[in-house]
Amino acid sequence: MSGVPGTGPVPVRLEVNGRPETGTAEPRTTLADFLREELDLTGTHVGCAQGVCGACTVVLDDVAVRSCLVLAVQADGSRVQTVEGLGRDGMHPLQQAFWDAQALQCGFCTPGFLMTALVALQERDDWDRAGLRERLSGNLCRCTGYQTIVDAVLAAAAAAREDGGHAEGAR
Amino acid sequence: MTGTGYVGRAVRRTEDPKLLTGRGRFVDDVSEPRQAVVAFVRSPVAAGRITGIDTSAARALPGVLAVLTAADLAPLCPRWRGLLAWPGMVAGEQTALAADVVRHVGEPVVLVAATSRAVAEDAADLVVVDIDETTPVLDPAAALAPGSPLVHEDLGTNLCFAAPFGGGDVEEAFGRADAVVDVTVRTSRHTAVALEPRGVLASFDPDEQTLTVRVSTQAPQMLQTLYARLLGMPENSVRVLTEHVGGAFGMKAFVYPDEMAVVTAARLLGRPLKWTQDRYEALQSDTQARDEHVTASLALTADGQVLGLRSQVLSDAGAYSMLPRGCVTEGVQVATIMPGPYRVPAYASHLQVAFTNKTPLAVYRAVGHPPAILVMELLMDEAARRLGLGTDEVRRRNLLRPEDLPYTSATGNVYDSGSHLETLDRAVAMLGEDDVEARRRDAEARGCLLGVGFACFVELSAPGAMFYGAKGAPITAHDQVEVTVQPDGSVTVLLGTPGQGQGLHTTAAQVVADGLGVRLDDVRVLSGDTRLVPHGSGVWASRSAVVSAGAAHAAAAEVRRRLLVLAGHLLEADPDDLEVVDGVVGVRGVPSTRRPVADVAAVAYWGTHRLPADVEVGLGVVGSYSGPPYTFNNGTHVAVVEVERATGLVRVVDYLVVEDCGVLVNPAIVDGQIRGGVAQGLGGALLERLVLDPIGQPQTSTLLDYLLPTAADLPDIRIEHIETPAPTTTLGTKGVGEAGTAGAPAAIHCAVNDALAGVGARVSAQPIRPEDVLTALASAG
Repeated sequence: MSGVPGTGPVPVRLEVNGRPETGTAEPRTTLADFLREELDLTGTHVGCAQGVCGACTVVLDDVAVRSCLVLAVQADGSRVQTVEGLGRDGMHPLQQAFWDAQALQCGFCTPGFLMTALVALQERDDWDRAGLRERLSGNLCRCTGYQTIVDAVLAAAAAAREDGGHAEGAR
Repeated sequence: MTGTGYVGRAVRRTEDPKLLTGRGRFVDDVSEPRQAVVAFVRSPVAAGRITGIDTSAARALPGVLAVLTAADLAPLCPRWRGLLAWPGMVAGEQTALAADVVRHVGEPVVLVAATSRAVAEDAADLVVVDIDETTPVLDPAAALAPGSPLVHEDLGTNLCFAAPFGGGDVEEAFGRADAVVDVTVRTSRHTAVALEPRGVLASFDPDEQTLTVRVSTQAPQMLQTLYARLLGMPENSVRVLTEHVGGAFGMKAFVYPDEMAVVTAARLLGRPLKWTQDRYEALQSDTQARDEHVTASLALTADGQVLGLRSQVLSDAGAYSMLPRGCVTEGVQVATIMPGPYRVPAYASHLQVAFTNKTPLAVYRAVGHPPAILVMELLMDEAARRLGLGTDEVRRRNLLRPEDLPYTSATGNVYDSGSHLETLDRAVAMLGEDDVEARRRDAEARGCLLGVGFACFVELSAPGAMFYGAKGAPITAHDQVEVTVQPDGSVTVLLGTPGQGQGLHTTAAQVVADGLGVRLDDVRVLSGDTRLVPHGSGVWASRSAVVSAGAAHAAAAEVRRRLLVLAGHLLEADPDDLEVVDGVVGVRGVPSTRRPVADVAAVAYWGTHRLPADVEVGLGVVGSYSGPPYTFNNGTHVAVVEVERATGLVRVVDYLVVEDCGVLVNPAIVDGQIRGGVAQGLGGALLERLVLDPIGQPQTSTLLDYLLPTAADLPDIRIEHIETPAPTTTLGTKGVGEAGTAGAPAAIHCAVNDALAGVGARVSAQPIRPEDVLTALASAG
């Protein structure tokens, strides 16, 4: 409550998708709500607010995090990448691979999967199917049965290897 | 129909770029000027009488706009009953906010509107609701015993509905049987968990007296009708918007009290109101399903021919029959689908549906099919073991053969076409490519028991008006689609049924492009605004590939006919001699006559002086399609599981599907439906269970407690198709959206029991948890 001392809104400065952004947040405001409501970046979705479904996954200083479990004030001064920052000149190879493989149906979980997969491919580009299934198991999809998501990430990995490296970095 | 051949091709979905780039517009992504945000105070107890509500502290909190109770909303929104014309069915009244009695944990009691969700939740915490707790009814069998407390006192009973189903002489069948096998099966209450929680953004325009509701739903026009009816408004003054909807699965096909409260309050307060459900609320208030208790017996000859089937089904409806689909559909389908794809000459089922103090039970993907198919397949396996037959062989001896079709089941369902036996044979062939016995030995070496389970099934899809409309529910069975050729030859399609991830825009574009003879890229599909689109019933019961696609085809065919009449005048040719291919019209076999559809369309719009007065020049047509009373797809699933002896953990290591849903409009979309459906079925078989404590308190209020399948829980799913076109539908489609979910629980369960059979153990309840497996192993000694 804003009436209680020390709980009022404070400024939060982030670098979001390569651009400086400033807004205000109560200490209790999550990064997810800050991105969605203060910065109008509604591509990051909140599916559970319990830290389980992974729909709200963003990349915070190169680490995939659940933005419903991070307070905006904790992220102050950090770099954040959201789905809106992927592929500003056309689709990112991961997005293209998801489209080609039909790795989405309703699309609600998709931004979170993309951000998790982005980091997973930076960790390594030679995932096998079983290992990738484990790596992606922190994100829930209720529509696809996951198989085409695995297909898409592996296709993006293969494309990146053919390019001789990652198609695009986390930033 | 001439076509450009898009139907049958796995074209990429037109829906996807917007979703992939994070520019989707789900309800919570959209805001209105001066909107306030809603939070609810919900019942903390399963049963009780409200004795007082003190909202004064909440009202005093800065930022709070209103704190509303049932008394505030009652003048604008009456009570309702989710009653359908099933003989003898009863249903208690429901209100937007609980008026005097609370009947399940999570029932909304007080609505708080404030400047932010956080302030609204702070205020909700300050509301004091006094409730005299009463003894909750939590067991459906006890609910039907004399002297049970009543969920709805005015009904005088907890029995919502009871009915017999079946046909043939069951007494005679069991009397002459060589073998009778029995099962008692329990499937657990679970829920859809659409990843986008429910949500609503409602506003009322006092000048035009119109209501606009943006809502996460699968049936926008149904809600338009019901909002209008409940609020006493003309239907043409209610507008329902849906752009992107993050999954629904049957759960978003109802009038929810909390949503109705937001809509009513928006009108009362004259401010746009937004409510976005959180997951905690979802697990208490979204409709639930699969809470079925079934006992069944199968009578057979010594050589494995089924003579008859008996079943008793007890369905736990929860506290309310939800408007408008009600709470008996699941139980009815459990009873009536059970004979499945088999020749079952005699069948008697008795269904009872009981009210309890739980969240309402309603339809969820494959409504009733999973328990029905599970029971029948477990009976088949029991019969195989009793008679010393292979589990595939006992099925083979009873599956419908081509010469049996059309076949009328003992419950009156007509299977007009299909490949019931062929899907099994194909599945066995797919499985045979691997060496199952070698895999068994390999598993054993790792401390695991390997099992193979079959599920042969039919799925009722695309039901007609007899399903709901004839029973008094405002749910249409037909769909409408409007197709317009614009002056430049581009095509606009207005889709009555929008979809929530099924790719209906893409499939509609494929059907229209083929129907007209234009390029797919020239077709743009729009939906999601009931003020603009023609009528559609929404997504339910695997209907869209039959009904919505049928309407799209009807509209395209009529527009094409008009185009050809126009072109006939311009080319001085008989329209019957004309063709339209890739957006070019001309006399068949005479290339010099070819001209773009745009040239013809331009004449239709502004060159009508060149045409006779009696030519129909409008190139926009609303097509409608009702379809047959229903269709049935069929299939066989095979699950291969490993059961770890030390831990009881079940892992699905291989999964095969042979599906026959008639003509495939888009094979990639069909496979996506099947795989996603199998995943949900796996959830029900192994993971998903809503747990209540002995006084009705939910113990599964987060997704840490309520387990959903992850990528690591699923194997790759191998799919083959047999395409037996439906003889009764325009495109030969049968619908497939629920087939994966229908078959998977049975295939996985049968596989687990096959694994356990070697040590004399079996399990009979879902989900099959590790502790259940360990208990079964221990009791088998």
